[in-house]
Amino acid sequence: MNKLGSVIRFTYRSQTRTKGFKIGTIFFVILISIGIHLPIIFQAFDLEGEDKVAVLPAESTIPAALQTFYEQQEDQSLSIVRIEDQGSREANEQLAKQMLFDGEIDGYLIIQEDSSALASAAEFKAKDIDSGVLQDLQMALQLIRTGLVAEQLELTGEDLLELNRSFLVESTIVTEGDEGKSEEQIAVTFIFVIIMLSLLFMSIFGGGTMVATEVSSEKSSRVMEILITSVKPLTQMFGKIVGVFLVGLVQLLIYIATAAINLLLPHNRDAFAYFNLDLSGISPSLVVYFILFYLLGYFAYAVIFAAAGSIVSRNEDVGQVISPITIISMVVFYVAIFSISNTGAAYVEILSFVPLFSPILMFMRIGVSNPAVWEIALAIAINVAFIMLVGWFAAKIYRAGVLMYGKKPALKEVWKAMRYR
Amino acid sequence: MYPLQVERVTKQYGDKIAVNGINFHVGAGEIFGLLGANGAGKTTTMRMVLGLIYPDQGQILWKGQGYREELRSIMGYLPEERGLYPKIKVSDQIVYLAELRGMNRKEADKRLKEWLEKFNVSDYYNKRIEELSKGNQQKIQFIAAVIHQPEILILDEAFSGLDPVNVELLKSTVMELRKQGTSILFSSHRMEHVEELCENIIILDRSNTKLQGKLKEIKKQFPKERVILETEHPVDGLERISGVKGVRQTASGYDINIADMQAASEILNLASAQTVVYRFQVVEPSLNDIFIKTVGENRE
Repeated sequence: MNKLGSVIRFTYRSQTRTKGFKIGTIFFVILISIGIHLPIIFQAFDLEGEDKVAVLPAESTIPAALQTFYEQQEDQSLSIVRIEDQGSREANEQLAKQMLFDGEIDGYLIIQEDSSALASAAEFKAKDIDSGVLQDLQMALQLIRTGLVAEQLELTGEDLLELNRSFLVESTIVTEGDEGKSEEQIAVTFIFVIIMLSLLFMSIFGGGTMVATEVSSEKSSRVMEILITSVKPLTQMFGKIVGVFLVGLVQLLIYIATAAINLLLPHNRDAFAYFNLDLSGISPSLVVYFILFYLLGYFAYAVIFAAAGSIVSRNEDVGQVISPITIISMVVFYVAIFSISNTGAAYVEILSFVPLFSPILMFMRIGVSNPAVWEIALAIAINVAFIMLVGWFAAKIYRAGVLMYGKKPALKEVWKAMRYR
Repeated sequence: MYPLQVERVTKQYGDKIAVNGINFHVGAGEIFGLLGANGAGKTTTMRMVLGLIYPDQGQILWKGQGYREELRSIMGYLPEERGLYPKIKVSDQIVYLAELRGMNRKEADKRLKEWLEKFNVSDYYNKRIEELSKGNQQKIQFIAAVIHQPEILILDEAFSGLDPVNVELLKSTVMELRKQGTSILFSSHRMEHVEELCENIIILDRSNTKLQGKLKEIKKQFPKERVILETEHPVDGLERISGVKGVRQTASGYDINIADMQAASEILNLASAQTVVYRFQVVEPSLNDIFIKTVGENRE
């Protein structure tokens, strides 16, 4: 056990001391800081400034009402520009177009008026489609039109409210025996699954590649010839995996701290106030499962990467052997994304017991539905067994690697070398 | 009971026999020479001694017992193919390797500093391996093999890549280790080193043991066949002496091959009758000659 500690510490220290680690970490710290400041930077450059919209025809009820509506708004993200009547519709439109290309306005709205009825259609023209502006305009127009109609029909304010009341439908997923999960709980799970997927992806690609490279570089530098005479390959392998995991963890903590510090800066606090998610829906057991399945996921992939790194003896060949694993993880990723709203499907239930799929899918099932305890226990057992088996196998290949320097990593050779005890 | 006993060990890879019935032991404070041409089975033998692979037949005993975890901390290994982490500081990796051999960090660090001082390379403590010359990497590798004071030490081509000064330095270190009681399995292609260090040797040829025993005894079995002669003036008629098989003129005199000792005294008589003799020596065969004779004779 002592030796395991030594391997972990050595791996951790040698990884964190590399230039690549330092530069990479600093790069991401800067990137995160910039990312968080983007809204403020945009504000400073007025990139997200007021959108100016001209409304045609020039003289009419709705354009005037629209102008008043936006003038009364507290947050003036949009303002209405009235254009002077040029006599004809075509001339007005020509002028608006001119103004658009002169940069005076960001777009223009042509309301299709009909003398017999209140207008109910318009055309918005702009150089690019900003769905925010469009939605904004549509909402405002709807509101104005409803008001005008109410006036015509002589409806009271109460009538109007009653008319506008929306019909709410809440959904709950029902599971056998237990009470179901509410939509909030599912939403939280969804966020967790996304976080877990991103974390696993970061760890798998960063950490997994690191493990594979470490293992193969020990072979290429031939240090392993000394190593395997002084420490068990299995100890060596898991020490390395844990060491790399700690490197990733520290890196992650640095990023979280960077984000937290940035968000706590006074000028950022308001900007992000509305991101305040309701975290009360998170149950402690979900957090525990999250950590557990994240660890299982990381180790399951790490042992496979280690096995892959053991097959080759040069760093240049690492990319080749890890690409199948990368493809598998992509498949897992897509399956997870596509099945999150469909966790009851038979294929999800089956895959939640299949190694590599299991950590993400079983966690998803726990969050969204209520799998039986034995199912969770079985998934954990399968994962642990998988990690031990592949870890043992990887150590075998690693050890066999010493006996076959210089040879091509043909599977037949690996298998042969493994059998020589 | 010897620290290391290899008893009639055979190892087979598929249908190819790598080592056939090798049998030797290394005592405490002994340097045992394991010799052989390339592909003779030395590496396989060393790997079995290291416990990396297991014999198919026969057995290996370390201090009278079979392989056990404890051995990892009492064995040291200097592989022929050097290997250290190129980008990691000398201090970090040697302390790490010592730790894996069961030492504690503090002690390992102290020992490392002593060794660096002994090898006159104290300033390498904070250097990365890739910054060092090949010979100096070699010294560091040597330290890695001995820092935990192993009882059984396996040295594979310990002096390759070193300049003569450093060869002497390491050689004297190896002799010191012998004096301290370390059992050393020494493999080399440099016969003069083996001759200087080893009392007992074994010569392997294509998986089989060709020659084994005390170096002195082995040498006695081989006839003395060479005479070195240095004289003031050239000597006439050396070739005509019966028993002389060949005469080779060297920069300082003659190197003569003889069939028996009778010829040697006739050479001396002839030479001293003609001129002043500076040097006359009947040379016993060198290990190099013996090796070539033993291993080379079946080669076509």
